[in-house]
Amino acid sequence: MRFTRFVRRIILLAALPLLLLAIPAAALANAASASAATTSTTAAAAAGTGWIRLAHFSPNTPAVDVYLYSFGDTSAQIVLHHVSYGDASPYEGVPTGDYTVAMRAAGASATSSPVLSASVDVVAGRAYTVAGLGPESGLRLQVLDDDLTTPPGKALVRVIQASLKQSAVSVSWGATMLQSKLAFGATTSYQTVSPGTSTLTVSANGQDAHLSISLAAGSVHTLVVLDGAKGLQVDNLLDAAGSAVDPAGGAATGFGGMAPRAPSSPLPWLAVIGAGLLLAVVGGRRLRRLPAARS
Amino acid sequence: MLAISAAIAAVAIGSSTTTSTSLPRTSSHANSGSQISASLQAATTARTSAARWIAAQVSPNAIVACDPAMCAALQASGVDAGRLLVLGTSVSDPLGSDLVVATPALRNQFGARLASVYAPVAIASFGSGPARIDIRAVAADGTAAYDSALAADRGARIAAGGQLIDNRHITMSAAAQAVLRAGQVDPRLLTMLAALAAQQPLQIVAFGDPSPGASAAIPLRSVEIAPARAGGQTAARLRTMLSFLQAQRVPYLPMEAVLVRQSALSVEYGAPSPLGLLSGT
Repeated sequence: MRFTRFVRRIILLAALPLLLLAIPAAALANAASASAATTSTTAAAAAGTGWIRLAHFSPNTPAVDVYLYSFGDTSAQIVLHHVSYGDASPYEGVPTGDYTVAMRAAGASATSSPVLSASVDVVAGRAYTVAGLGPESGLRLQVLDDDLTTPPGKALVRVIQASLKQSAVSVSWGATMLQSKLAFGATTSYQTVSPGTSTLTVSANGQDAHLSISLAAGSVHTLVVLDGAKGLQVDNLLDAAGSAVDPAGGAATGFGGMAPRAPSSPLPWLAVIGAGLLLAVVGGRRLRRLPAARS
Repeated sequence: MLAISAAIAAVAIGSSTTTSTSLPRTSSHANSGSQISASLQAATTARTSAARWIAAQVSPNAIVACDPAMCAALQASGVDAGRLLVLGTSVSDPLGSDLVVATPALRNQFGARLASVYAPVAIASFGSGPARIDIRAVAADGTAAYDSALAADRGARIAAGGQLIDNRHITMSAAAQAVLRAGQVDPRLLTMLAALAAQQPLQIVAFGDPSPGASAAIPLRSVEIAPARAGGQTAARLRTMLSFLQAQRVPYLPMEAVLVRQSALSVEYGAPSPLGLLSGT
């Protein structure tokens, strides 16, 4: 038994350095792959591709399945199942052209008919968010034109007010007031801001929510104000990371179940590496104590 | 509601008088009398036809502006009084409505501005000569904005129609293709056809025109479709199509969807055709 435990520890100790080497290697590979995938929007436009993402921002509407039907290409159809409040899908590259957007309650019978909700004309090199907005009784799918480029050295931000508990909210980023008294279901246009890290403050009826947000030069963000379990919450959707980078994912942060996290800070990797080192040291010490225990 | 009805009836009487007095003065000759009688008959026929068409063809959520006599005729045809905007003689414009019924009385009241400023396009027309009645779409943001939106919408319809022609799940005649290529099909029909075709292959039998005397810029709002594959499943496929259509909501809920000859489906959307539906944003 003791021998088995000894062998297991040897294996663990040997595995840790490999793990420590593998993590940064994977991170580097990921970065390289992202870099290789950095196709310009111009190239995408030439290829006849645009991007669509779907989002559910209607607080009291149950989860829905969303369907995109191409007018001309029956093979270019998209189905997203179980899209819930706060969800934003990654951007999906689709051939240019018109699409009908339809939806039905998640889990509804296959024989029930999806309800037509909007149509969207996807233009090459452009991106769109098809968002369910408003209360369930007045649910509408709105097609939002997403900006992918910014003025040189600047960032773009817009706000979607999707909190039903607050009829209107005011949103500021640092000293910059992005929008005051933004009504439920409303969306601002993009605003140009100087890049940096600052605190986003959402206030309504004396309730404030704060979130530190970094806006890099060339990045485009959609900030979504949501009803959370403990008050207002904010989703920070990354619409574009830079003018030369294709849209790749829906959400950088937040609560979207479908939203992949955008690679941003190296801190999480460093934390994992640090934890690994700590484990290696502790494991090594305990291993050194083993012969003494045996004698 | 009762108050509105009473007001319409009361003003209708006054308006009838006004309309009568606006007719040419006549002598007591029998010929002139018969001409007046014919003119009145023509005006009544046009008014009745226009009222019936509006009751049957105009979307139930559209507000219709009309002179008191016309509003009374519309109510008699079953149009809810709450959808009527009565234009008395003191009203200076038809704004606040979706459609205006351009009767001889309203043409006199608003003059050339009715067509040039407030309601540039006729979506249907009844009668002829002085008795003619046009149903015109109201340009809430002005004629220039309306014309621009109409042109953009036509461009979007042409593009969308071209894509439907390429859709491998849709078959159609050369005539139907020509209509689609010209952007003459209502955007709601285009959107609905794309969604239906995604579920089962279909055939477009023909597009229809339920709007007599409409301007060439006004799209067709009806279509007859059938399952692409004939055979024993036809009835079931038609039922699936019908239930899909009946499950829709405004603006995609058709005004009428009925089986034709047990082998096809006739689908018709209400007037007026919405602008900007295809652009989405």
